[in-house]
Amino acid sequence: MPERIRPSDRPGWEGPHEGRDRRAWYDRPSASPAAPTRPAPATRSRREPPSAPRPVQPLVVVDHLTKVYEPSPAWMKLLLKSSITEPVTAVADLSLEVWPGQVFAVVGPNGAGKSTLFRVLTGLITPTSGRVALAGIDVVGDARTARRHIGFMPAEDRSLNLRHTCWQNLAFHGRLQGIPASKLRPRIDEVLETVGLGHVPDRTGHALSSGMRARLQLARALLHEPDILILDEPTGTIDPIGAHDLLQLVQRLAAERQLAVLLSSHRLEEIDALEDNVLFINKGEVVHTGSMDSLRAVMEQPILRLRFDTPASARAALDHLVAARDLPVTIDGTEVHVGGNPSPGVVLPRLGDHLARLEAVDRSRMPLQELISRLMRGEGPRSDTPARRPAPAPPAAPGPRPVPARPAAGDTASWRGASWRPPAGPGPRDARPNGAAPTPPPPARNGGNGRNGQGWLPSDGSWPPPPTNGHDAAPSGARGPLSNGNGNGRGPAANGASANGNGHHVPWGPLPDADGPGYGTNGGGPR
Amino acid sequence: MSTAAAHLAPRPRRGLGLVPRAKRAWQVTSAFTWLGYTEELAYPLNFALKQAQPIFTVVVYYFLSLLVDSGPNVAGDYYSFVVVGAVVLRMLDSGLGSFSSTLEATVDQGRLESLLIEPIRWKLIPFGLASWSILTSAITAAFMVLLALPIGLHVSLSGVLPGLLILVLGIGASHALGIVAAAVKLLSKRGNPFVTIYGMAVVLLCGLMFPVSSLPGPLQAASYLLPPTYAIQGVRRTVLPGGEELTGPSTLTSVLALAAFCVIVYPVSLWLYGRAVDVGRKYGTLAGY
Repeated sequence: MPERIRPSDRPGWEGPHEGRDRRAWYDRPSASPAAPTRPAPATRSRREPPSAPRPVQPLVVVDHLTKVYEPSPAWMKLLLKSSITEPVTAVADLSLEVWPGQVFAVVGPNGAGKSTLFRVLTGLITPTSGRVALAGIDVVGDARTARRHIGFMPAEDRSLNLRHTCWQNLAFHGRLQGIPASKLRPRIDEVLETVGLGHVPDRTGHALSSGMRARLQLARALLHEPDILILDEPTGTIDPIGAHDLLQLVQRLAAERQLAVLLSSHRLEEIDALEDNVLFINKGEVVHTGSMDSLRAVMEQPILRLRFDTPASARAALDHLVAARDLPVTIDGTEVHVGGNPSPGVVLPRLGDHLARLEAVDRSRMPLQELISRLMRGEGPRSDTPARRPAPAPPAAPGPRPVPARPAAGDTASWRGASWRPPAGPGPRDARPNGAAPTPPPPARNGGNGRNGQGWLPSDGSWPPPPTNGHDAAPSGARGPLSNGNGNGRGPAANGASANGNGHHVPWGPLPDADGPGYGTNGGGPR
Repeated sequence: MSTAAAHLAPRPRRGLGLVPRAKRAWQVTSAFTWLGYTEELAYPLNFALKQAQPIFTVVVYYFLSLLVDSGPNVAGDYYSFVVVGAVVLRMLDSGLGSFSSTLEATVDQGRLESLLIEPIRWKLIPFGLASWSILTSAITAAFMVLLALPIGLHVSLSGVLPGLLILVLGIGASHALGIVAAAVKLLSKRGNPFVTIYGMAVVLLCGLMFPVSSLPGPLQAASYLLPPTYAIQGVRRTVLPGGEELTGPSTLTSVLALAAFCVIVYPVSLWLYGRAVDVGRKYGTLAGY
């Protein structure tokens, strides 16, 4: 049993918001001088004054959290069958901090421990060891008070009462949350407007689309104005456009209201959008935390693609390169692929006379799908540092974090939306280990004949392209489970052929979740 | 000191006042009652049929009473004897069965997690979920009495108030057992052997259709272990004209027995429910099915 954290552990603690009134907003006097210190958006008159100082402490602190599911005792197996015969470590020594205004994505295959982590955060599961503090409140010792600070959005929309209208769903939970009847009606109207459902308050859950149900769940999570949002696969059932809009809404709310948001996701474009705040876990362990750029810098090995006018020209150039330089070179039709992170300035002069037959040059980045797949297969370095970050600097102007371009209608491969970004100016994001140069932009990225900014990459977006000469052979049809090309933007189970909708395979193996611990395949928790 | 401990706030002192807690409990319970009401209205035919059911019960007992000799064992009026027993048992049954059945329905519908995440005492959830069912049972029981009065139910008006007091005690004892049933349900998820066995025992032993004194000695002894025996007997003694002539426990004995059940079983059942929640949190089975 985890040791309970007593107030005496920290005498004089001021909480994440110094001097903040810790009561719920509906319990606070409207013009109290001891009002919370969180800066208030113009639309939130009940919040603290805008001139108040920003909070300086994280709202979510997970400290060396471990959860081991033990086999049920014999008497319990009489009541409920359990498949666990030996202890299963769902979360292992995980540490994490989420700050106000920060949107943190927890990414991992099914069975990685995401849902267990969220259930521990919400007090539905007790940790085996470690501590969790939400808004300064110990979740194990005082779960009910901690839950006042949490807005939770479950993965399934079954948690809504689909026979009830939007308004009724919110009214019920508003009463459970202790919102006085006199303030409940305007608050429901306000939150419905916030999530874009203000025009359908009387529509029943059954008559809502998946995206609208997700928004209704978000409205329910926001109803009591929590400090922390925990969203378990919030976009799991939504089409890519709706998912993008929902994520944008969450990011805007997090920025405006200084919410600490923790979400799990399988969508690659979302992971890319939250690139500075991503925690990759697999089998309960953190495999990487931090920015996607830092991950790419360590794991990515760009290749240079040279496209010639004919296959014969490509073959001749290949022979020339092989003879001229010891580089890993492969051929695919009219394309020659040069590995080893070569610079065009080094390779092109070595083409000699074949340079005249060259039509295009592309230096492609590894798709996020492949990047994560390799990471989860253990091919990348493990993070030795916990997912703790310094408090983010106050933004110059409030506003949502940047999100990738809205995907076009009919865009089936979600990672396509994660388009290349031009290199930023000097700054931490440009720092590359070992002095490696930043990855240059592909020359034809936004032009050529590609879709969605993919340049002249193969239309299935695979990276490297499917081998045709025996190199890099991979099981046919295998595809990383984080791929998201099944047309509805749903979930990790997009394995199989034609996943991108154009008949191409992506030749990368599945993530190692198929042999996971056997629990939590649908929302976590042992059965 | 760990990092999490460094971020912990002093635990706020809870408002220990009875009034705020009662007010909050009322707010939560009324929210659940409203939920049950709106859900019921979503299926109007089902709701209407459920309300019509007591009509048949009252009428069936009427024709049955025509075949049964009314003697001193039934206070001279079998119809009143059996209708009062049925009304009391209906009230008690609602307390026992609805705790676990509504909990099971909520789990099956996938809505328990969204309730557990709300800042309410988890011990209030079974009470809240059962509140609408208990309320409708009370209305139905009153409806049964109103229907039975014109066709032969005889009631002593002076005994109504003491009868209601005994009924409330009986409902309390029944709710305590209902909490035990809910605790078992949290762990077993489906079915509830406790409710099934208890329900069969009640019908057989508690004197619904016949006096307890008609049972063999060992079964009579067993019947006195069940709170409905005291509730039915106590209400009959106070409400039925000539009820004081009935055999079995006296009114005072019934009151004391039911009060003891409430005082002893209620805390135990709440403790058991808390333990079931803890076990569910430990093994990760709390919100699953």
